[in-house]
Amino acid sequence: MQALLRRFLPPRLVLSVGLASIGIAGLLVGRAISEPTVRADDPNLQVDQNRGQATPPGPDSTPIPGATPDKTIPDWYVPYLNQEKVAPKFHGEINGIQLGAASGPTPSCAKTEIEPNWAVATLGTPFDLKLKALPDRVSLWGEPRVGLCADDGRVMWAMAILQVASGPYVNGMGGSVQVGRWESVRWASQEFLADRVTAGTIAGRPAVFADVGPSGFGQAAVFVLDKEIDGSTMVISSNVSLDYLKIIAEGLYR
Amino acid sequence: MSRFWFRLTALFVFATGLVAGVLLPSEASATTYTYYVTSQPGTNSGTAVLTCGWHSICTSGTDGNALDWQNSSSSAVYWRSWSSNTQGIDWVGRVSVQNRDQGTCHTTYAELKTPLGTSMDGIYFLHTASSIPSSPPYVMSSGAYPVTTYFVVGSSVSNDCETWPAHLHQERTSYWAKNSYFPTRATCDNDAGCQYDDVWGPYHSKITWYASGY
Repeated sequence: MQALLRRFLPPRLVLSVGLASIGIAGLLVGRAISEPTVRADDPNLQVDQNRGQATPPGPDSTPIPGATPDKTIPDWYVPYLNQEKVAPKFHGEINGIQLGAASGPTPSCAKTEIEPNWAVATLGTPFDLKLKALPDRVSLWGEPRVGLCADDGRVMWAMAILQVASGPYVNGMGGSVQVGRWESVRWASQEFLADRVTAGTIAGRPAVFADVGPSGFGQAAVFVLDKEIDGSTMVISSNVSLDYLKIIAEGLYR
Repeated sequence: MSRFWFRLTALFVFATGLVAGVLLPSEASATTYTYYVTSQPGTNSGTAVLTCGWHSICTSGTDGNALDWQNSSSSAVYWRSWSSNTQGIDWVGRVSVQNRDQGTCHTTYAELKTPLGTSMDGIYFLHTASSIPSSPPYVMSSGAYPVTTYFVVGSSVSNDCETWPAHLHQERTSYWAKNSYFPTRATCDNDAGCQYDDVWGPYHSKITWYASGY
C-alpha cells in the first residue's frame, strides 16, 4: 500500500502541494484583512456608502451631549435638527438691523419699474454691488434685478444670485448666494438660531452675522447697515459657509 | 528535510502569501450608483401654463435660468419632482425649504440635500411667500421607475416687488441642468403667445449625482 502511495503521491509532490496550500491560505487571509467593505474616493461619491450598515437616528432623537456625530450614516443630522427646531430664535435688533421681523419700512414709491440694464442703472449709485469684480470662485448667476421708482427714476433696490464653485467653504457640489441691497429696509423676516447671531463689521460698517446650527440645515447670512440709503445689504446662503459670505460681503463694497 | 526546516519553510510561504494578499490591489470593482432628481412646474394646478420661457427678467424671454408659470394670487406653490436611482433605494434626499424674502420681494428657496446632508443646490421660487414644513420632506425615489414627490413650499403673492402680477417664477441654480428642449417655444415676448402650453409631465431642470461602494 505504502509503495502504491509513494508511486502515485511522491513525497515531493505532497510537500509542494502542502506548501502551495499554505501560501494560498496566507494570500486569502491577507486579502480578508485588507479588503474594504465600502470605499468612496471622490468627495462627491460619499452618498449612501454606509446605507444598510448603520442604523439612522430615529425621528425623535436628540444629540448625545459631547458626542461627535457619525456623518457617514444617513440622517445623522436628525437629532440636531430636532434640537434646533425647538431652540430659541433671534427676534430683535443688532447693529441697527432687525431680524425675525414680520414686516417693516420699505422704499417709499407709488410705482416700481424693473430696470433690465442693471449695470448702467446702478453705476455710481450706492446700489452698485461691484458684481463685475467678484471674489475668486464666485460668479454672477443670471441677470440681477434692479427696482427703480417710476416717480423720480431713483434706484430703490438691487438683487442678484451668485454661484460659488465647490471648495472648502461649500457644502456639496456648489453653492448659491442671494444678495440684495435695499433702500429703507433695515429688517429681515428670516429667523435664525439665537445662539448663532453675532454683531460685527463689514467694510467698516455695522453688520450682523447669522450661522446655521450643527445640523447644517437652515441658512447663514450677513446683514450690513447702509446708512447712506437708510437701508441694508443682505447676503444669504444655505450651502456656503458664513466665513465665505463675509468675504463676499466685503467684496460688495470694494 | 528536517521537521524544523519544513516548519520554517511553511511559515515563510504563509507569510509571503499574507503580505501579497495585503499588498495586491483589490480586484473588486466599485459599483457606482446614480441618482436623478428632476424638477417640474410648481404650480397649484396639475396643468401648468407657461407664461414666459427661459429668462432672467421677463422682458425678452429668450434665455436665462427661470420659467414663469401661471399661478393665481394665494394659490399654493409646490415642490414637484421625479426621482429614480440605480441602487433601488426609496429616498435620495430631503428638501430644506427656506424663506429668502427681501423688502417687498417674496422668495422661497428649496435646497435638496442628500441623506448625508450634502447640498445638491436648489430651486428658487420667486413671488412666493414661504410655508416651511416642520421637518424637511423626503424626496422619494425608486430603482424601478421615477417616483413623484410633491409638497407645498409656499403661495403666490400678487403685486410682489410692488410690480409683478401673481405668477410663479421658478429658477434653477447652476448645478441643476436646464432641459434645453423644454419648453419647445423659444421666445416668449408676448405673454399671450405662451399661454396654454400644457407642459405637465416633462421636467425643466434636473440634477444627477453619484455614489459608489464596493
